Amino acid sequence: MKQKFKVSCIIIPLFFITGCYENQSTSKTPVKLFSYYQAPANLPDNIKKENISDLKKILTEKWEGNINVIDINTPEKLIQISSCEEYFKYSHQNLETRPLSYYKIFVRDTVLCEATRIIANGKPSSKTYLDSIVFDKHLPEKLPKQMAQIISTMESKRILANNNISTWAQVEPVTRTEKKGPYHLIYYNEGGSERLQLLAKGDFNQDGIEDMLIQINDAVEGGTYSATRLFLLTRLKPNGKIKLLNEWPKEPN
Amino acid sequence: MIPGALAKRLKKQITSYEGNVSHMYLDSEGYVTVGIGSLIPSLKAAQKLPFVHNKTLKKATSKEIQQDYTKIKSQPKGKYSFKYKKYTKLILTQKSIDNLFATQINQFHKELKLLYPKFDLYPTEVKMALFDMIYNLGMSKLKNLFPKFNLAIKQKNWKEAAKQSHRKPTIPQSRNNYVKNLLLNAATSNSNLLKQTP
Repeated sequence: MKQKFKVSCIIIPLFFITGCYENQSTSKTPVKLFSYYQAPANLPDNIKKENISDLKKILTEKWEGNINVIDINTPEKLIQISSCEEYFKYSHQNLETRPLSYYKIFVRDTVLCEATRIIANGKPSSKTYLDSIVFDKHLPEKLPKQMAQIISTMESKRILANNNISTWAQVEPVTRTEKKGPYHLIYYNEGGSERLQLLAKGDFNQDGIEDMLIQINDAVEGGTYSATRLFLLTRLKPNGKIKLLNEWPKEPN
Repeated sequence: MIPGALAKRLKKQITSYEGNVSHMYLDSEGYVTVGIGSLIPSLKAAQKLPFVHNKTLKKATSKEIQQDYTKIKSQPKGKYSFKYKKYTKLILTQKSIDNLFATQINQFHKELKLLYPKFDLYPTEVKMALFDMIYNLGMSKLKNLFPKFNLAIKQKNWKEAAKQSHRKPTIPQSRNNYVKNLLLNAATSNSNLLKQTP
């Protein structure tokens, strides 16, 4: 029988190399890129994504064709976007694709652009409190409530305002879990699923403490809805709460 | 069955959001899809669809459908639908896509009547809004994730339903506005009707 899971951690030496999970007080832990990281899908298929310099190139790499977008506040002006770098120039605007049916794929690619930029700008960390986190069926009991599959904006506001709810598991019960890899699981709920993948670990907010970047792909049964979401998380003390630092995509202004 | 005029309006609107693709492609989650965002859950399901050859329009065999399906399934997911065209030889004709859409709409109609027993008595705008919601969310998520929206619909409080209808990003703002405006139009028509009643 073959090994069930491939080792899915690639160590990226930024300043020097340490072991994958080594974290001595005198050394720094490098940024770790996991094999679950995906480059934006509109890039050529053979794009390299093995290390930080590859990721930096991805940010400026031209996509296979321009994507036409408009800012919904100035819909008469057509904008052409053909790379992550170009997207970042307009990311503060309320963009919609033309045709509109490309919107979902466009948003997914922009989320992957954000992930690429975060990892490419990551720094080695001097402290980590993430190594004890187990990626198993109980993980939604520890992850923040924002990671639950909430599609209604008004329900989302109610849940965020409710101080009695703090975790994903408190928002929606997970009915079944499927482990696809060491850091890749699918959590099923009533009528839908969330595919969770760990993309990278490193100091992504320049506080010296290791953070983790997680991607979630939402799907629903019997409907066309799907979403790719990105979460930047950290832990500030041993066995402390997992704290949400940032999430994408953002709500339009 | 839903009236032809309503079906025509629904098809036009939902096509603008979901696209209309004659060949198989992968959606962002890696599911094989065709037509107006219609998911093909398995090879067996694909082989039940009336695929024809792109160039000759000759009916495809089960083996030929398997070849297209397997080729598409092996591609990277999440690309724009037109990128998958080069891997396919088969298409659905527009008539077949329309039939597939009509079958789905009739199924959603049954589900909407289960969720809202008075659905057939609602104004056309409200029906259009609910079809858009269920086509996108599926019955289970519409039922479970939008409790206040459902309550407002059952109470025929279209204004409140408009407020509660908003879906989070990956739904373009114009689609959210379309549903909201349908419900607000129904609220306005309702209030005008009440004013006219002696």
